[in-house]
Amino acid sequence: MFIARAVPAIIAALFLGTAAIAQETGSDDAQTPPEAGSGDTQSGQDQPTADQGSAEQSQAPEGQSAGDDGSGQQDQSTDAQTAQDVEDAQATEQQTAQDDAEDGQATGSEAAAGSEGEGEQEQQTAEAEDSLKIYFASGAAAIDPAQSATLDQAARLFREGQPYVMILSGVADTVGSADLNLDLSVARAQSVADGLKSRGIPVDRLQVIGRGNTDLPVNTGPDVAEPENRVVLITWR
Amino acid sequence: MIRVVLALLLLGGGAAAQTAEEAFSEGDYGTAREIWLDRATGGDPDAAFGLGVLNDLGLGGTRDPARAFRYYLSAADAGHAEAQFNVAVMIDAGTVRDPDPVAAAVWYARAAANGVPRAAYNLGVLYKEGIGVPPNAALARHWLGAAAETVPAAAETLETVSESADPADMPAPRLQGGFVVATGEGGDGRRAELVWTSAPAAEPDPFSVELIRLPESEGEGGEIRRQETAASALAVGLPGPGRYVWRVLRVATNGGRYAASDWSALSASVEDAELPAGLVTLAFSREDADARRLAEALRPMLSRNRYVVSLSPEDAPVETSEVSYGFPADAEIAEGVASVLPAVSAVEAGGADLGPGEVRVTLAGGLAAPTD
Repeated sequence: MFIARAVPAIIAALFLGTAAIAQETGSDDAQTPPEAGSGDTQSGQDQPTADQGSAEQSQAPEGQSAGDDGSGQQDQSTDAQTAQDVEDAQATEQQTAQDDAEDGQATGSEAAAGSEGEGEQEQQTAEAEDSLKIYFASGAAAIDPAQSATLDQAARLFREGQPYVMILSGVADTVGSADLNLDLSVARAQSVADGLKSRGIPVDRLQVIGRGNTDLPVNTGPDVAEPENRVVLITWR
Repeated sequence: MIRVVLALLLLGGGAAAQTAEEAFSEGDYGTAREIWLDRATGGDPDAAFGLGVLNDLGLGGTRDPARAFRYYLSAADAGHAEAQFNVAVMIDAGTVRDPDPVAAAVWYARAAANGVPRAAYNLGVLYKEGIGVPPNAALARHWLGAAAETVPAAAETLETVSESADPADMPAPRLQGGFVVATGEGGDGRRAELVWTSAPAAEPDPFSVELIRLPESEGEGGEIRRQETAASALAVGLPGPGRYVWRVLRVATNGGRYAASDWSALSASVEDAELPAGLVTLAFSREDADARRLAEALRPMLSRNRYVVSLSPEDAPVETSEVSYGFPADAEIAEGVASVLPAVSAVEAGGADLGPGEVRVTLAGGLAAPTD
């Protein structure tokens, strides 16, 4: 979920000079407070305003197409999820006048849409994710192919046009010296940064943070190999 | 001079006025929103997308993912490729309703067919993992390959795609949706966005997409277009106004067999009863007036039996009256056609020029007109 959130205070991060790149630009657009003068922008989510309402009404899609004969309705033999999309479109028309903002759900065959699919499909629990974790082998900063599936999951969370602020926070377990672990944790976070960028995820602003052995996910004593501490935590806002 | 200047200012859309895109890039979200609201009233998908972005990021207002989704959906329905991708991601991620990988895959496919590389990448990943679609290595490779030029990770992920387990012999494609959008070009311009899927196949035969414009009157022939593709989605301009149906087939490259999806209506006004029973070409010598008259008499009768009929006057002489077909699976169609025509019997053609579901009737001279 894209909940606006402050960077948690517990990331009392160790910024390692050039390795930790905080690219906060001056005009932090996503956080600009609403302009008082711009009419409808102050209204809460549930209150339609005249111009927004009329705009949404008139641009509500007719079925699935702009065809001259209102074409695009689906034949019964096609999948139920296309029926779901038609319902989405109809829901758009119905809702624009009232703008029930939270009710993005279409009525009707949600169940049909969800279950109608190939047997092998595996519903990934991507709903309401607000963090992802990538695990690393002992002493390693390279991303394992098995872990690249998590990066692919990220690719399915971030849409076009979103200048995300991403915080990549690398950690190392307590095996080895604190200095080396600091370097390792930064290298891990950088690996993840590279992986996200190479998937075309629109990351305008990136914080690459190495925590070394501080604020460990699992509190261990010194010299303890702990997989949960060999991670990069990806959060965003 | 002053009058001219005033006229320009009043026109608003002239060089003196700022565009919404300019306002947006300058951070003037209030102006951008106003202009886009105005344009969206006229049904402009770019404006709808812009409004979606404003609501999505909370620019000039609060973040409202649900409202953003509705704007994106409006633009996506109208064929806006980036909006289609955003709709796919929001459905995939479950941002405004429960995550639905099956629906997401269809939207990714539309966006990918419209050239959005990240959509192709995500769709490739879904096919690789079998999420929302059947696991299909060939389709995974196609879509990751399509993204590879722009999305660096695509080439790496491509290398990790392993062969599909248990590929089927000749699995029929399954249609997932056919959508018509206005292209805004040439006034009447329209585009079909077609999406299908398939279980993995043992042989790497490409898909063949058939698009047919149904005849409007009994005097007309149907127009058939075919396009081959290795993809599972296609965005193709419609050749003109009219009512269309479509289907997708796999045709064995070493001949003799095909597996076809059901026919589906692309235009809403097409009813099930109008879906084709077969494609019939009535061929005759150009100079054979009797045969031509017969063909014109047969066409409406065949049309009523749901055959899509084309007339083919030929330069080469047509000597005999016979029915032929190209694939053993079409024997039944050929026999059905022959049964309404007197004095012809069905013969299997060896020629490669007959497509799946196609029957060719050669007419030499007039025959006794059939009684209905």
